[in-house]
Amino acid sequence: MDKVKEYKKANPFKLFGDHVQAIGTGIKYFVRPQRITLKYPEEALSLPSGYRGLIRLYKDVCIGCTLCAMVCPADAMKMVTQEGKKLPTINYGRCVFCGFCVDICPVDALKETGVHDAAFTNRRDLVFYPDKFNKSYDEPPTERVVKKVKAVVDEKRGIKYVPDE
Amino acid sequence: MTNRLEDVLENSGMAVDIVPVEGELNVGPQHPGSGHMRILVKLNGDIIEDVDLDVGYVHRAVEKLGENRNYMHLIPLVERPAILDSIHMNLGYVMAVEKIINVDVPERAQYLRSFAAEVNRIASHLYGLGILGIFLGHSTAFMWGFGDREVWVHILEMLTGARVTNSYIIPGGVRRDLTPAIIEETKKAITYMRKKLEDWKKIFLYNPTIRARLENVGVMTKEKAIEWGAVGPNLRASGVYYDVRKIEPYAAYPKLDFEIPVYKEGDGYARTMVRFEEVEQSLRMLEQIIKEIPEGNILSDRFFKQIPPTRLKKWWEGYRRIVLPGYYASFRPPKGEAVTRVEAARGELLYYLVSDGSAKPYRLRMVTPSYRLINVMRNLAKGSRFADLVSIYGSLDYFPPEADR
Ligand code: SF4
Ligand code: SF4
Repeated sequence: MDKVKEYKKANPFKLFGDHVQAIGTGIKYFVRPQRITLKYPEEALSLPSGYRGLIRLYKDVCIGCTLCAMVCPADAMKMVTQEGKKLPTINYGRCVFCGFCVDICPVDALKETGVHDAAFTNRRDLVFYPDKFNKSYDEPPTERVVKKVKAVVDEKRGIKYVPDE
Repeated sequence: MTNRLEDVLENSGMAVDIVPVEGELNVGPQHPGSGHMRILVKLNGDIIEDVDLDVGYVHRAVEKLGENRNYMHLIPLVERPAILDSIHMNLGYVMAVEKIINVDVPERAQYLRSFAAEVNRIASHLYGLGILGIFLGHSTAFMWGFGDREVWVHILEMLTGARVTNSYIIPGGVRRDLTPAIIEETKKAITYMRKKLEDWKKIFLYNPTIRARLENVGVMTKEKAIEWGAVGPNLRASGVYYDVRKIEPYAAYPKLDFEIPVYKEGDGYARTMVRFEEVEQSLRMLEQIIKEIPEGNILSDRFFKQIPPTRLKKWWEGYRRIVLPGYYASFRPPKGEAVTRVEAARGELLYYLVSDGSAKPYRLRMVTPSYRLINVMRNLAKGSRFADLVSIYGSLDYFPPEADR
């Protein structure tokens, strides 16, 4: 068992020194700021490999085993029948991006795409039927140049962004 | 003495009428300063006579929902109440499921669980310190807390594939393995954090303004802490040596060398000191885990053997990732019940799980550390000054969604 510690009560004579120390540290970071804010959307973050982003389906690979719909905790994955074949359809309004469906699919017909940013104007658009679900969903802005950066840990600065590619 | 002062004021025409004010103040129910909770404060002057914590604003019925979902479905659900501490929520629940289905967890997976848990503990304490900072009007601490937390969230993101909704721990093991790239990043993060903690101390912990707001504020004696049922860092700041990681070790904790910071004073400052030192201990543990982690499998053989060989080759050998065999889609554990405890960032987290042999639990009971704090906070706030309400709140690191479940 470790011993019970007591902290030193504030010493009135040290107070001034402690104030100076706190302000000094503030000045240090004023001169050399440590900013981690990204200028989104001009700068966008690329996500690390293995990131559980939006999911896509490979329609021809799927064998319609329904495991993905069974394991889905949010009832986001549902099976529909198309031309006599059972295929999954996903509702992104419900999906919690746990990745269980991708991990359980026995034939790897589902894949995590690493795309994270998406906006929809209509709730019905959140439901991806097999045809839409069959391709990677990504709509990067066309008119502006987006600088892709990725986050790395730096020993001196904490999170640092370096250009990707 | 006072009479004379009043006379002097009277004679010089500067007398003030002191009108005693009594009444109720409504704090909340939204941020900032109350969390997602309404606090009804009964005041006498600026002394708090009584507080009524109106909890339940972010109640999500996790326990009741638990009876309508199967065992895998519950993993993302139990994480949601304490989203900043999701690894611990996940770990406690999965340990209960493992007890019922009676499965052994490989050594490497145990180490990985401790690794993720300690990374999460650091992130959670930094979050708590940031909130304490902004409650006290120290915006720098708020920015630093959330900025430095980002470093640890980044490591969790690399390891688990999501920032906070990790769903990393599954019955029988964990989902992904530690890669050399993650080890490199963690080493850098440890160096960075050690250095940054020194600056944290200078600008926050030893800052006389902060000390004035926290010292002798919300003092909880050892006896009261036990009587009120405090847990975690708040209990340890009142001089009680109690940590589930030592008392009832789980994951890789029996093999790790670490200390439990315990302070005697029981005031807001002691609670803050305990959190700071826990971050330092967690950094120590991470170093040990990186060095000592044994080679091997990260999923119990019982489930590992069920993964189709082609997938095993692609995912486990290629990406060091476990994929789920069909068993997980909807398994029926035998009848039984289990109780597990883990030391979450805010204290002891208890799960009680009953299985009736069907695919869904018969009952899930979840006692979170913040839930225990409701009583503590109510008692501590009585008799303190109104301005200290936020100091007490922040120093307890109370997290309303976790308490409401
Ligand atoms: S990622 Fe999770 S929530 Fe989303 S569809 Fe797959 S299993 Fe369901
Ligand atoms: S688990 Fe895979 S193969 Fe089975 S239905 Fe879902 S996508 Fe198709």
